[in-house]
Amino acid sequence: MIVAPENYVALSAVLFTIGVVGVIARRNPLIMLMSIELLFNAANLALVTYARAWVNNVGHIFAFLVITVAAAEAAIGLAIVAVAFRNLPHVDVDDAAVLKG
Amino acid sequence: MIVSALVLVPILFGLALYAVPRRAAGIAKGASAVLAALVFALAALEPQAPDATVRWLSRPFAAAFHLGFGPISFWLVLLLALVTFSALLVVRGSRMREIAAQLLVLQGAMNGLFLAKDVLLFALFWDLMLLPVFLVLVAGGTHGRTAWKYLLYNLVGGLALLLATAAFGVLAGTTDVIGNPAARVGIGATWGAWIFAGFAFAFLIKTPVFPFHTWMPETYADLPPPVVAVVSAVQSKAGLYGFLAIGVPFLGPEMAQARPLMFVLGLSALLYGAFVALAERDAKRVVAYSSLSHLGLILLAVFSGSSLAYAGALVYIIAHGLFSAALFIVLGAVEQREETRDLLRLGGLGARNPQLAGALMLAALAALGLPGLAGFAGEILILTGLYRAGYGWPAVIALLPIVLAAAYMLRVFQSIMNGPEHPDLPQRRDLTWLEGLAVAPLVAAFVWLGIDPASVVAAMVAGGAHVAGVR
Amino acid sequence: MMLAFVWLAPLAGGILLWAFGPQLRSWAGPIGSALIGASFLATCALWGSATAPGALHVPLVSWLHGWNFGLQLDRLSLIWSLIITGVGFLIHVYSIGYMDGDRAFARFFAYMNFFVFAMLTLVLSDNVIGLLVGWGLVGLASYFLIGFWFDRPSAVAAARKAFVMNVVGDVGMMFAIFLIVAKLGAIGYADVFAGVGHALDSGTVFLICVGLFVGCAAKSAQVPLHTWLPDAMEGPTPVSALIHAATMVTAGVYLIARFAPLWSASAEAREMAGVIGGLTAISGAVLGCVQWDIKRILAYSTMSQIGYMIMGVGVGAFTGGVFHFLTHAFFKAQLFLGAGIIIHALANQQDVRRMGGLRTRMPFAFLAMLVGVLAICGVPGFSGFFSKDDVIYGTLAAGHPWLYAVGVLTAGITAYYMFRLLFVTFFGPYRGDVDAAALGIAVEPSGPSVAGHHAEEEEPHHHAPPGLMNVPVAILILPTIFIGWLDFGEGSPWKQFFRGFPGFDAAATSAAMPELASTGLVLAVVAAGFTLAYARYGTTAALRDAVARLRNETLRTPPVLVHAYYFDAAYELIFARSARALGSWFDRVIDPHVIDAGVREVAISSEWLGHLFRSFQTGLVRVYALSLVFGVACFVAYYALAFGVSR
Repeated sequence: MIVAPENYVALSAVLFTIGVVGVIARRNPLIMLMSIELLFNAANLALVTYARAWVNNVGHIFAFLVITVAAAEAAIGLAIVAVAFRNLPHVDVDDAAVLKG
Repeated sequence: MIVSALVLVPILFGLALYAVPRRAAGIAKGASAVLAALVFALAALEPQAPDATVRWLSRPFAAAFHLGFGPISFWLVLLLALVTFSALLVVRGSRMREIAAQLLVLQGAMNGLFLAKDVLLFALFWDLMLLPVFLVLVAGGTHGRTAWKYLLYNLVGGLALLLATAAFGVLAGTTDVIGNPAARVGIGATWGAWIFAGFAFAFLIKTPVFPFHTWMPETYADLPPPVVAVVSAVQSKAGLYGFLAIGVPFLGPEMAQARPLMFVLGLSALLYGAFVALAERDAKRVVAYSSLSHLGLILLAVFSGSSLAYAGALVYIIAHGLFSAALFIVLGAVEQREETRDLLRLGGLGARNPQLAGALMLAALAALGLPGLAGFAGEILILTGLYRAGYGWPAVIALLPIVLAAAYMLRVFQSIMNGPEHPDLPQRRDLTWLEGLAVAPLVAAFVWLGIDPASVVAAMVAGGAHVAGVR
Repeated sequence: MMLAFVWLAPLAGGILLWAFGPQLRSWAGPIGSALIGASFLATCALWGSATAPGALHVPLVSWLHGWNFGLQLDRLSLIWSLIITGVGFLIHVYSIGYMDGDRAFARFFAYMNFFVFAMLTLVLSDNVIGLLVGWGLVGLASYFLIGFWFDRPSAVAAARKAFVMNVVGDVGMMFAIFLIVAKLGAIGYADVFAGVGHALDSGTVFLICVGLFVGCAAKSAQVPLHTWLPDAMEGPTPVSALIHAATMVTAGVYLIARFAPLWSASAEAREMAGVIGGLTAISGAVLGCVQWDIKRILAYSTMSQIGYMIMGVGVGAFTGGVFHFLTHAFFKAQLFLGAGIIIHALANQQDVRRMGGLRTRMPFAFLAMLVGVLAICGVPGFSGFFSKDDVIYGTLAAGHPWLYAVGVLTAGITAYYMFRLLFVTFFGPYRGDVDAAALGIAVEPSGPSVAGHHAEEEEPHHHAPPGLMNVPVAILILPTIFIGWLDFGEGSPWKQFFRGFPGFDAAATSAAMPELASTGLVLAVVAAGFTLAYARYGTTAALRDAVARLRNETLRTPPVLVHAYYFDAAYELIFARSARALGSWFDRVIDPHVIDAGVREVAISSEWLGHLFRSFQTGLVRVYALSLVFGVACFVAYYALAFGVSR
């Protein structure tokens, strides 16, 4: 079965929007990290779709790059979140406003 | 190789001094003085040293890590080495090691500035040379405000310099042009004025020239004497060197266009500095304002477009370096002995300290332009050059500060050394042999330069003017 | 080689005595004197080569093309060099006695040697810049020696005043140098003289003369730059004799004589120099009549006599003006050294009101002073007679009857005040023990250590001067009397000597009155001056109640004369005070409240911008993310609208 690329792109857009809303609206860092993963994968989906559609492998290569970066990000982000959970009674990203001007 | 060593060795050696334990600060001081003397010998013995070039950027414009001697920079490097040597000999106090280290870093950075044959490199060393002075001020603990004022003023200038350099590079295609008259860089009239304005802004602040001078008296008053000797003697010449090395050969039309404005600024500095120096009570601030006045005269020369005045400018740049260093070193010795710089409180030191008085007298005489000493040689060349180039009135107006200089310099000398002895002042020993050794080469140099400046003049008339492409 | 020795021997002495003074102790005086003496002998030995055509020339250094420095000894500089080293030597020897016991004995001779070097630089230079170097260095030597007793505030102030005023003169000369270099590109005298009438048009020549004359007026104490000279008497008396009477102050005369071709080419310049010289001659003489300090009387008389010289060389009577320099060097040195003997013997008493009757106590000093007074007044047979006559008659010959009248009148005033000095000092009773108030002397609370620098603190008593002080004075008596005969009559040796010297022959001679008649007139006026002085101070009646008369005169002197026409007060008000006020206004108002305030405004406005941008920084990650999304949305919308819709 051949699914038209438009559908993949649409799915990617939907996933991206969910991710963005998640990052903006939620205050739990764990959920925010998950939303960021969603953003990455939405982008990956789009990249792979276009690579297939235009028969160009650059998109695939780029997707791998994104996966690596996402893995690294998840590792560091989760470590920070874990430390935050251990040290604070409850975790809310709005409390981390040290950079307020 | 040699020219790179002139830049890198002092910087690395200076940083390495921090590894010396504080107890052995005396050794650090001695070793740095020896190094400064070696740098002087190296530069003096190898004036033909080949350039050192490493290609660096190719886009958006070509740039290179290119160092080498030019007709002006050779003399400035020698001056800097001599002044640094003298300054290092009189470093004293609990921060001896740090100040010695920063003086060497300063020497390396300024050698880089004077030897740079690439405008971008010049701009980078420009910012680098601000740091040691800032660090010395800030580390002293009590002069934070002065330190920030110094840094902010000069960094604003440095920023303008960097922007102008970038624009220069983009338009000319390369910044590797200093000292290379064959590089006829074409900068259109549209951007030329802006680029010149950027350079000029930085140079005028650094020199400083009225009305950009207000950082200077405070900085000079608060810096320890050895550092202020170097800053006033050599660092203040960076801007004038910039005008001569970059402005004259590559921005000639813009220089000519800016001449009326610069003459007004130069004359204002000349008169303003002299009048304030007449009224100041703090000995170091008198000398600071006198510098403002003297450097205004050099600014006139730089913008005169006359090779005679350019020759005078170089002679006066060196002369001012020598006598202002000597003045600050001797005034430092006075302050260290009497614990005040207030001219109204000092007095009568000459009777017990004849050598100290002699050293101050010689330095003051050179500063007031006594005929026969270097200051006079520079003045007369500059003023006759100005007059000859058709700027009669500026030359005549510039005569007035000579009278004022005699008045304020003698006032400094007499208020400190002459008159009845003050019983409430501590009477310490006369000039130590180390201080004598620090002042002696400076005095010898400005006496020699006053009698026979031919070699310096020749450098400018033959090499410099040719580089500058002037009539 | 020999010339370099003449020039450098005093410098070597100066450096040697300065560096090793404490070790040399009392040897400093003899060593310093010997070097000057050697320099004098070497100059004598050079007589032949200096008077030969083409003179003697030694190139030294060259700065750049056309700026060549060298030494030259021609007839004019020979005369000056002989006076500088010869009279200089005698005064050095005198100083060994005079300065004996001073704390800074060696330093004194170091400065004196340095002065001789500087003065030789001035007269031996073969170019205008070398001349200016010598000009500046003699000013420095004069500064050192006026302020020799540097713990005396009055000496320090006088030294600074002299130096600054001389710098005004230097600046005038620099202006002349501008013109010369601008027009000729060269600085040698020969180039300058060759340029007169070609590269230098008459207007330029006049301007050059004006510049040079400013230098001349400052150095030679001509009105209005004369106020430093009376104050310069703060220096030790031998200094006053050598620098402020015999040599340095006459440098202005040398300058005009040296540039005689320029002066000959410009009638306006001659007019200017003549008028200023005449003005100085008479105003100095008038002030000499109201002074009480023996050295200040002599200082004003020096000023007046230099006025004569300047008037002479100014109007074009070059040989006469230079000759007056020559005779004046001898008789004024004589007068000052004689006064020095008195001052030394009376332990630094300089007020003639406190003297009196010294004729019997110090017969030698009286003889010395008497010869000097007769010479300066121009009594026939004494040196001053010949030279002054030359100058006065020269003004008439050059067609300046008014200057002639001034010259004649000044001769009379000179006779008056010099004999006044003589009578008050040497005749009548001794008044040293009379109460100061009885003489009308305002007693000022004396500052710390005003007297007693000289030698050890000694009580005022008379002691015979050491022989070393008498010998030079005795030697000087001979030329003071006889040197004038060199210029006796037409075709005198003196006039022969300068025949053909550049510019000297140009002066026109068209006398309105025969020379003999003029001489008779001058002598009559001098006699009148003497008679007046005798009537007021010399008669038996005047000598009997001298105390009351002196008191009366002291109290009745017009204030305008006491304050020397208020020049000092005016300068203080116009220049010194206003310059300081301007400077402190710049320092206290402009720097902090205008320039720094402007910079502060820039800082404040950037601070305001900072506040604005700061409000964007909430520190909430979601807000940043939202603004990111908003930005992307704007971006996308822009491209969609710009390209997407149109497609």
